[in-house]
Amino acid sequence: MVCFIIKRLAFSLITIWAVVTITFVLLQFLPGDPFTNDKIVHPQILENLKEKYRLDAPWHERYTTYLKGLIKGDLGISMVYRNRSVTSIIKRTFPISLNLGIRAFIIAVFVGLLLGLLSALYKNKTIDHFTLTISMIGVAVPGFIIGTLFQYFICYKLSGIIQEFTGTTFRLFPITGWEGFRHTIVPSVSLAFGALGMIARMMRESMINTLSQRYIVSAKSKGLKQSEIVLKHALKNAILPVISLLGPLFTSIILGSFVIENIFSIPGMGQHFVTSIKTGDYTMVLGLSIFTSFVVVMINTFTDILYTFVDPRVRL
Amino acid sequence: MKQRTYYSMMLILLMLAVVLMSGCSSAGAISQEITINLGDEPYTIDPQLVFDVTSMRVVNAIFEGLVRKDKNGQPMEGVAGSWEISDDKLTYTFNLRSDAKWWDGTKVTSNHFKEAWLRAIDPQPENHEPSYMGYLLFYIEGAEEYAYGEGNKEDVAIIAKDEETLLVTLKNPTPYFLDLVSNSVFMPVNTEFYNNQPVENGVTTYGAFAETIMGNGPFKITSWNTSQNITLEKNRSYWNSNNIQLEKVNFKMINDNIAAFTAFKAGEIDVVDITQVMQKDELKKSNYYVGSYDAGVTQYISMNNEDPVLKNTNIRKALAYSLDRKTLIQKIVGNKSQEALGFVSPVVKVEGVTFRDRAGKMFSDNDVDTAKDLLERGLNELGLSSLPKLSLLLDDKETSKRDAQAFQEMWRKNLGVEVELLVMPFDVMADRMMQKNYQLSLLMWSGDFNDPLAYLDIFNSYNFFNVAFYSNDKVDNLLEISIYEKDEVKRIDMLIEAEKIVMDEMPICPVYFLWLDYAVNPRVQNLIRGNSPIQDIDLYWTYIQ
Repeated sequence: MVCFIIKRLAFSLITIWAVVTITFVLLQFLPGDPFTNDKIVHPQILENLKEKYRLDAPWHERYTTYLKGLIKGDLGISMVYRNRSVTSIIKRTFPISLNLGIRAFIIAVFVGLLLGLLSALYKNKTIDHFTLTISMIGVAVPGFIIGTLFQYFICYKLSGIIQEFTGTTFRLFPITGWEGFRHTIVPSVSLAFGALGMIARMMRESMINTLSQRYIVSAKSKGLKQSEIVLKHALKNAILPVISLLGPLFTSIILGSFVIENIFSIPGMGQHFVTSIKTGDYTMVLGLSIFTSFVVVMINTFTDILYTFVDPRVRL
Repeated sequence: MKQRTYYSMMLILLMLAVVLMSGCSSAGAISQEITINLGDEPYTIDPQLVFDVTSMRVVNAIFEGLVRKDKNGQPMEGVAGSWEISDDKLTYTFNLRSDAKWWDGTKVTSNHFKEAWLRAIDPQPENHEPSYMGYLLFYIEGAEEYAYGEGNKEDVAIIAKDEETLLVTLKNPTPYFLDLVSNSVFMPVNTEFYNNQPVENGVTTYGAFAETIMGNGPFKITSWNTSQNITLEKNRSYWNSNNIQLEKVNFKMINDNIAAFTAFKAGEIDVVDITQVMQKDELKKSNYYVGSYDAGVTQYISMNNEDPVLKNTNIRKALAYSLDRKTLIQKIVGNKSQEALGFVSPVVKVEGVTFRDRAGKMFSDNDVDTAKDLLERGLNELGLSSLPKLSLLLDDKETSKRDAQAFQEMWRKNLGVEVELLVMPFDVMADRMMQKNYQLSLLMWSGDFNDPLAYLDIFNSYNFFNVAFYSNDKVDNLLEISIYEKDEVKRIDMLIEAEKIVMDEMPICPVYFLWLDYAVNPRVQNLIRGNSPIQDIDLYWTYIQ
């Protein structure tokens, strides 16, 4: 195990280095500059700016400077958000994305597994159709539509009805913001929707598969109770394929919440992925790539370790 | 089963509502509090470094320059209670109020202005990047040389005579200098406070957080949650605080337009920008105040005057004459925007009259017959049988795409000219234009100050904003001598003549003067939407009814 972790860490370092290098090289081909946004910048001022950020130095010099800073843990200063370091932006925004992601992930896993399990047990019954509909919507409808619809119907309409009903100015689900528990509910559910659908589908298939295995039939013929068969024997095996899915799913939830964050104005990290490329914020793009690759590598390692506990046949 | 799930869900929701509501009380008397959507996170709120409308909305509330803008956008007294202009119109003496204070109660002195202004033109500042808007100070004697790294800081003609007197000498008589001084870049800096702010990675944190900024305006900042909200409260040490009625201002940062609109309808925000015609109709049916204001922006198509085809004046004119601006505005833009049949925006006023009214229309809209003739003549001059396919660069804003498609259709229908649309980020567009690697490009221009020169100067062949690469000695000369002209009437006549020459050669094609729509909760009164970026939202006179 220890040996595995060390090996994994070494590989992850190489991965991150490769990410830095490739991103750095690609950024050289990015047209435009981070300083021109809505208006052309005065040429003298542009020159002064380039000198300030040393953009006029040859790329290999900038590359070595950047790597040297990176070793010290310095990701540089954002070129767009003046007077803020990339590290401070990540430090501030990532916990919010993580918070939202964990909430969504928990909802997706619990509800998804439950729905999948129930629909496998009550195949072709109402609950099965219901699950199928939900998962179909979750997989097929993109996040920005789900988010906008939830925002309109739950945050605006439903909160409005409750407001009228109780006769106060209080709105149960605020439309935007990230200030308290009330603010987190609808965005988390919206973000969970896609993953939830996927988990439910997967769980259903895998459970149905497992239930038709011979050892289940033999357990049944031995006269075991249905609940015992499902919870003790079938579940353990049925859940395996779902678990291998959880790692990548978790990463995509916490790092892919851009759309939901944008709709509900949540100050997470998602927006920076898009805007930093759009505005040509070189240091931010690099910093985020490094951070993201670090998170992905860590989560994958963790999932692999988790797998050994669930499936003893896997050895590290 | 399905039904039961729904019922139980509803029950849970209601129970939750009751539990949560027990902790909140209903509002009592009218609170003087307003919530406004900023749209985006300000890059910084350091007055010398801001350059965009979003940040200026905040800066205008928390800072005050020597001069500020009144309800009609004209200069009025700010920190300077009065000023004198010398007879040769070159020296300005500002007399600062003795009761102008920073948030912490210390006095605003003439040195705070001097330091701020020098900071804005510093070519290589130690702890921050050079200011984008610093060029607005180039009218001051010695400023341009210093900013270009050729002159000395000591030679810039800004003199703090004593604590309450600031003397500025200009290079030329500049009738719009007071208008310039109301801009963000001319606002003061509390040097003592500034020097105490922590420096991270060689960059000062001044202006990056609520704790690292100190202003002197009608409001002071109490919190700034990144990408979420900025809260201001009334600044009691402000010299005119008795006349400021708002107690609290919340700026929210809702980037998604549909979300902002929903939040407005739910009463979470009091002011929202309207971007779709549909939204306006919906709000008008309800009791909301829907307003619009001239943003002082001219939308135009820049043409590369060095392009083998577009170097021909008749072809450029044909393209400009054949656009049906009226239909575009009525059917597609759907607001009060006006057809641009000249370049200088109608917000520009000289001696009480708008420049546009004095100069009049320079050509006629939707003049297809003349356009066809001109195209024919142009093609003959170039020895071509038909016009090759042209390309139009535009940025990725929805409105740009919408308008560009309309131009494409109009040119095809009216002239039989094919135009290809190339959508790209603005910085890429700017790069291509600077390298003369384009034919047509959809742009917007807003003057930095309220004077025709702020618009017409982009036709000066020495101006770097002249991306049409237009060059006419007569125009250059008129613009040049207008700078030294002390007689205001003569000066305006020169500028009108310059615009006439330009519009007769049509180096660019003006499209419309942009108006913007917004909705306000009816309880908000006297919210000013000015015609310049610094006054985009002015809360000076605002109150809640």
